[in-house]
Amino acid sequence: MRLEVRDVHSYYGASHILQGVSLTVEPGEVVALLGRNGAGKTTLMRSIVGLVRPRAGSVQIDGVELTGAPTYRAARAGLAFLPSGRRVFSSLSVAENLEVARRSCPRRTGSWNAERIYGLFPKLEQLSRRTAGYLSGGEQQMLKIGRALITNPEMLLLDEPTEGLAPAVVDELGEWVEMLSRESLSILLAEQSATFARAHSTRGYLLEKGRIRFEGSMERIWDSPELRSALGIAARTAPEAGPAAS
Amino acid sequence: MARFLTETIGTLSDAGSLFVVAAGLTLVFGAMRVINLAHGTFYMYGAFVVTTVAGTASGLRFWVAVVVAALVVAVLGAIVQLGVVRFVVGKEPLTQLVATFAVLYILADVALHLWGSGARSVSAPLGVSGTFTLAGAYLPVYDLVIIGTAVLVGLVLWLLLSHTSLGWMIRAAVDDPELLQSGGVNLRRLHLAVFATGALLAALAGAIVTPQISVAPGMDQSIIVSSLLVVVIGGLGSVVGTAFAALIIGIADTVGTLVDPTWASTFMYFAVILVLVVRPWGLFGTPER
Repeated sequence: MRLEVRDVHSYYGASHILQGVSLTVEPGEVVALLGRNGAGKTTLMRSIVGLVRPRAGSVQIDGVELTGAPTYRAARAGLAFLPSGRRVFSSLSVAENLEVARRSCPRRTGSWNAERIYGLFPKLEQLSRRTAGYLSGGEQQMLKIGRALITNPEMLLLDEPTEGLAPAVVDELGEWVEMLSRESLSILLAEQSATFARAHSTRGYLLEKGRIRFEGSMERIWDSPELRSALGIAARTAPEAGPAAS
Repeated sequence: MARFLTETIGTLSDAGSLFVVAAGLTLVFGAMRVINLAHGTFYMYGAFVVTTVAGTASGLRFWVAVVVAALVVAVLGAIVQLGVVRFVVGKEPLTQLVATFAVLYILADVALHLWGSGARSVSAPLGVSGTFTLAGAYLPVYDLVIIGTAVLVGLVLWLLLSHTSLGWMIRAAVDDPELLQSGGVNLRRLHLAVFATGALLAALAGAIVTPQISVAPGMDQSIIVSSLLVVVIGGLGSVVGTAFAALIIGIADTVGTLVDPTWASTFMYFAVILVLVVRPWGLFGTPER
């Protein structure tokens, strides 16, 4: 699946959050969306899936216009949005979460079903009857990915997937991203943690105050002191990490 | 003993119909985050439709009238959802209150034109009219019909919410509507189904109590007050909480009436205040995040 975002302007109330953002994700590509807190990464993702309605500009997947369509259309077209934080249906069990996700896109078929997801995350199978609200952060992350995969998507929009995760879980998450990328899923990865994004994507966009400040290879971003400071990474010292586990 | 039995059956019957109305209200609030003040309207329309369809005949036609009333009002609910409520989902609570309050008043005027301002009544169909005796107490058979209906509604709702994927979707909408819709669910359609079901439950309660009350304008406003109390005590969005709260309100009302009828409502509201002081989010609700 190819995603093309062209000159999108989005507002929250009166504040002009996205001021003409354009970006593309080619089929099978893992693209990083970098930027500080408040740069507009989440708003961009929400604009892509229609949770925020852009005032101007267009969002197309495989040449088909998605701008202004109701949010459920994006998922049914194969675009899975994984919002940041512990977003699972907390009163439902793990198995019910997966079933609701599957039924939400009934016409999407493919190799991903509950069995295969339990194969990928054996932990989820053990916990299948557990209420999702009681899962650990890492387990909820697995469930989030499982919920997305069971709809057999062609592209994932991952918003801050490493936020609040223990370093060991971040490593695991990295492996999953690599695995999904090998499955030729396209991924747009919004991250504050540039280290994680750098490790798992080839190309990136740097968003600053609602505009694309730079686009190019991750190496270029990493090597430029100016861009590093824009990202809030101290010049060439220890890489910035997520909240450390104590 | 006889007195105790009479009061108990009466209380259970009152609590039962209150539960059915309030279950609809809490279902709608849970899945849509809308407090629908027009919910009482659906209750009143259910009762009025029964008086029209059942007429004076008191046989099978009464039961047909109950079913017709529930279905007709479910359609009315769908129209209200599409015409008004859909536009206030996700808006300020005050906007929602004003909009649904407006619906209540408009439909009250419509009801005046359709059914007039006088009280109407329906007699209980043969077979469930009259009384039966138990341990020396004379008890209305029809109370058992209401209690049975409430138990049945409770069971069906429980089965729906815990054992069907539609029910899981409704609970998912309670947990995180945005996640549900970005997962591919047409939230508007789900809202329509939930709102029509809520209206159906209110109408069912209104229809089933017709043999025991006089059906008249104003029913809509009095029932919305008590069902809001029930829903708030039970915890907004919780069906189990609604069942318990309906019992509490029923018992408080009965005990209050027995102690001193002139203070009965005060008694009831004290029960409400007491619960809310201890648990502001209701018995089975969850504190706002």
